[in-house]
Amino acid sequence: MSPRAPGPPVLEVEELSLELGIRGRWVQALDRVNLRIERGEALGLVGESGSGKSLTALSVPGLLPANARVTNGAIRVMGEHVLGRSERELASLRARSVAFVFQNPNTYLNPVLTVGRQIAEIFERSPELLDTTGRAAALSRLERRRRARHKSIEYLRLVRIPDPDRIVDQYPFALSGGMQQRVVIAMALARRPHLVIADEITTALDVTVQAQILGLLAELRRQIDMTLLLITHDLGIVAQLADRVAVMYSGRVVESADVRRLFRAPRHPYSRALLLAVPTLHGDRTVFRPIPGSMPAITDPPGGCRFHPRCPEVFGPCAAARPGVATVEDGHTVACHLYGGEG
Amino acid sequence: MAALLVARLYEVAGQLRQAWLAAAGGLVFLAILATGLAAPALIPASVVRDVKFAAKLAPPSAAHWFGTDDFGRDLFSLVLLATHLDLRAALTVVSAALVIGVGLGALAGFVKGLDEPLMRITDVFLSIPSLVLAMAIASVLGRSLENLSLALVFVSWPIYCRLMRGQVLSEKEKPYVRALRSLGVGRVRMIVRHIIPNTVFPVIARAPADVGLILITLAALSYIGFGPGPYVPEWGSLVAAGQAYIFQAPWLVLFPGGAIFLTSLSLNLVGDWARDVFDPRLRS
Amino acid sequence: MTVPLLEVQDLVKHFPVGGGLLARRRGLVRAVDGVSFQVPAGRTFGLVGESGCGKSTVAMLLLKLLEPTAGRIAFDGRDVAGARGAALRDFRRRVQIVFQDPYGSLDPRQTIVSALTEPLSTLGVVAGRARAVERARESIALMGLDPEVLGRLPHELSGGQRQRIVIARALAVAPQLLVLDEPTASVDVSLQAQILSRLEELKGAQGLTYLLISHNLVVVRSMSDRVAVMYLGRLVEVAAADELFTTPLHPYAAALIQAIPVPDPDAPRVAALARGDVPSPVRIPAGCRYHPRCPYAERVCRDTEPPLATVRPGHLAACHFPGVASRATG
Repeated sequence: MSPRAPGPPVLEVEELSLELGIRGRWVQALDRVNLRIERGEALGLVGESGSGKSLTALSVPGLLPANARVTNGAIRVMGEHVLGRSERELASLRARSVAFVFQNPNTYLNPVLTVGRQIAEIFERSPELLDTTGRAAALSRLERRRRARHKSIEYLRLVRIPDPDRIVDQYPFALSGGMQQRVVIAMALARRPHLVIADEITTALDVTVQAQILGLLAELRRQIDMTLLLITHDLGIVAQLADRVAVMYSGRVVESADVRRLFRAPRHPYSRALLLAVPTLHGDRTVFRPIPGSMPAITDPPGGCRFHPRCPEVFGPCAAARPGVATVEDGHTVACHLYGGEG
Repeated sequence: MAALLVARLYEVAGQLRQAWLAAAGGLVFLAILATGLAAPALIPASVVRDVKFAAKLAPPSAAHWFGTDDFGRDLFSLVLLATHLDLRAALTVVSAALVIGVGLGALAGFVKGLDEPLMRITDVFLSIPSLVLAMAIASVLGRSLENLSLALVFVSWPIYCRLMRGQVLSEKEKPYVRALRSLGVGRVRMIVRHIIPNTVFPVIARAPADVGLILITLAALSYIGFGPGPYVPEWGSLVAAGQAYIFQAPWLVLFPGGAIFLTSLSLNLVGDWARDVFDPRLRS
Repeated sequence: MTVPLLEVQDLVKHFPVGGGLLARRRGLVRAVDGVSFQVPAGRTFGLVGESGCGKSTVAMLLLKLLEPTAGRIAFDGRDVAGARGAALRDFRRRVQIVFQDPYGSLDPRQTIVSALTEPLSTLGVVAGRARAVERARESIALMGLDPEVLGRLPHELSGGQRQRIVIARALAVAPQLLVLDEPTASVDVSLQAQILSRLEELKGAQGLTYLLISHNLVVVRSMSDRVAVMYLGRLVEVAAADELFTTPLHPYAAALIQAIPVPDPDAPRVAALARGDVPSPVRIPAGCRYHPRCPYAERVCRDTEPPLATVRPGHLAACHFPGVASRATG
């Protein structure tokens, strides 16, 4: 692992609370979420559907749905505040600092433009990316287009697309899901963002293609020191790629730790149960250890700790009080009454 | 907080407004329907032949609420009698076209072999402008209101057939159809108990608006001389006849025309609401 | 030797591409191109493969929702081709399927109780409404659901509830063979474990035989006795579950296994052993179907298609160099 470069953390989410307007009521969707990603680090945000991981991710570049409102907290990207910014400032933020890669590449790509044009557009809109000597504005339009195309091919090569000189002129429908996802990653990287947010980017892909994309992401991290916020429900992917992990349940970060610590010694009962519920391929024939019950709907959450109705270690305070966050070791926090904690 | 409340209020107000409008429309239509049902009992059919040239083109008065037409007949009585005939005609035409169109459309969608031939047949019907087709049939069969109604059924069923067929085709591919097949549900039961209930409502939702269209088509036919004639009280033919006197006796056009307008409007309001009630819920 | 409950021989399904009344056929989708396997009663047989391999088509063929282009399917020793009327009804009662999309599998306008009792009457399982409702209630309870869901409509229920309902529906007719097509694809990990463990319990209690179809190798391994790997319409490897996952003989099977990210940060990284993309069944490569993606392909692989042959007792592979992947990675 490369030594951490100095500078502010790329992403800081502090006590973020968010409410969603559902059927005329405001319900709490995120409850004082705290995240932190240093430069060059990969944070895995893990949770099942309904845990709030996608909402958390969407709030960083300001892509929240219309019925969402932030009630507390701050988000800082490279030290700059994000919440409360105007749409124009956020658009600039998205163009420069934060790149978001979605799950379905074919809904993200414009079907009537070639792949090369779509990447080139990024350079044409931000010509300073083409020319680091600062004379970008002086280039003629023709020259800019030529260079943009050249850069597009370069980025296609970066994401390991075979035969990039030919692919650059293809339309998205001619490409497979895996290739499309690589193109979208290339588009994200072309902006030279400080942070790349990948939201379930391999869920829609076949497993052999997923392996290729995961390999690509690992290589990119090494090659260009990419900072990554990886959102997934798959613990295997997290173990592969992430340096640190944050586990979310029903709108809260219930545990946050170094990836090895989390898998070796998970503290929160939900993290433990989740790890046990995943059948693994190596080792003996698996026994199923399901977690009884299901994640509560955000419109009707249980009182106290939201996990308590399903928790095998539930005791006294769990039903009544919301657990605070405790630091069990350096860099390892848990939100559970078993460990005390405040906040 | 304010923004959310306002948005919600708008939404509820919109729904209420639409429901209120639909209720108003429904009431108006029911009133018209009641009039139509009562008319033959209240007004003797002989009014049609009650020609009194001396009293012709008289404006509305206590004796003649809607005035008199160019034959001196009481317009109010004529409009009322026409209510009966027009409603009967329009409702029968639309119902018959719906039943035929939905039935054939369901068959076309579900039975592969019937699809092509049925679609070619509807193509033929749809390629002829509806007015021309109605005229052609009427000229063969005769120009009574019954024959005109029959002609209009011929003109109207293809669209319902097409609509239904499209719905059935896409519904057929849905996973639950496959699942039900594996559970032993046969073709007939599939169409009747599953496919049709899931597909017919958007098609039916079109019908109320089409009632208005039928009334207007009848009027158009009268305009070009293919109407049932001056001795059959029909709104459209009353309007067509009165059109010649529009500056001297505007009431001849206003009252029957107003009847067409009210019927169409009230049905459209009900239809809009019905469409919204049936469609989006299924979509969710 | 008892007859296997299900026997499939040289099953083929080709779909014409392009065509219609007047246009010429432009090509052929060879979705299933010669598949043979046997499933003994009381066992779980797993069928794995990625998208486009034809496994869902195999499921449709087994359920007689599609007619095969060629080949034979025998259930309980009897050929199922041409089954009509009462014989078809009997077959449908004994062979059931749980499809991938639980929401789509339910008629949106049908209450749950109606969805459960309808097959009981169409397949002649129970006589009378009261008995049918009783049976429905039992099936619901068997899947751990509250009887109050019976009065509901599908859109009022959660994904997990719907998945359990479609399983209950299939089980209510008391089948012998249950085909599970991606039963946990649209479900979270914790719910997956619940459903799979329930299915495992029911298998013993009700004397069921399962055919489990999935792209998720972990799920397949955890439930199956024997597993077949499918690629572009053919089986490329068949073996006992444990043996397949510890010593895969076909490079594609090895690639699938190596591609699964293991939830252990110190485990070896996933290896992308398969190059390129999953091809489409319209253009099947000549020779060995897998050769364009195979890192061990030789000349013979481009020229000749290897047959599915027994390499070890009970372990078949369709490869000119079986075991090359395991040897290479150690």
